[in-house]
Amino acid sequence: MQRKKLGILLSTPQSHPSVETVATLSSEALAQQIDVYLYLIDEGVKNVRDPRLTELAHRGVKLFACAYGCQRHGVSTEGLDPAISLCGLVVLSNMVAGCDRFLAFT
Amino acid sequence: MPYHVAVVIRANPTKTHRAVEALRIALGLSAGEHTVTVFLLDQAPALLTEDLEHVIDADILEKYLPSLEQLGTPFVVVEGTLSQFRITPGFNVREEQLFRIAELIASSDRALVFS
Repeated sequence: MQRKKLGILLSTPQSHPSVETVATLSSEALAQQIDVYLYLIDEGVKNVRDPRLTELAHRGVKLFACAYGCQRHGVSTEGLDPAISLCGLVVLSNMVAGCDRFLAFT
Repeated sequence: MPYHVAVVIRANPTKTHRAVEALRIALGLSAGEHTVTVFLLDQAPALLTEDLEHVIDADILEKYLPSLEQLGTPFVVVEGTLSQFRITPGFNVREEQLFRIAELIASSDRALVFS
């Protein structure tokens, strides 16, 4: 049976409580054998080095960061964890289309 | 599978960059296979006005507006908005009553809310 897919959009920085919510939700989804696709956009890209999220990427969360957002918010992509993919809105569009559930924490 | 996506913008474009960013995201989703409707609430209709002087990231917004106009992306605003904001002609804007807006958002497949 095909695994369910959960798409999550996060646009808030580390200081926002949504980051912890997203991390916990993603972890729980992984534990339930759900594929998780997490897209960091706008100020959400400031979380690319947050251990709560990078750890999830190594546990299987497909973690994407908006390349434009990194540029706009001065987030260096040098030495970025290889588990994180820099991408554009096409990936977000595909996530919206391909996931069974989609949640936006904006 | 293409979806009907509601992008709801309540962020005040003169106070935060998030309103323009939300519109960029809406445009990105419109360019794909999805049907995107943008709901502009509170002060967000200022994004489509002729005077963008006080809009944060207006220079970025000005790059995206022609595409949104050309794509005919549907914008929904609350009844009475068109008499309050000088919306630039050419955009696909319609007014709806608040309860109808709630129905439309609730009936969409995906909703992204920027407040």
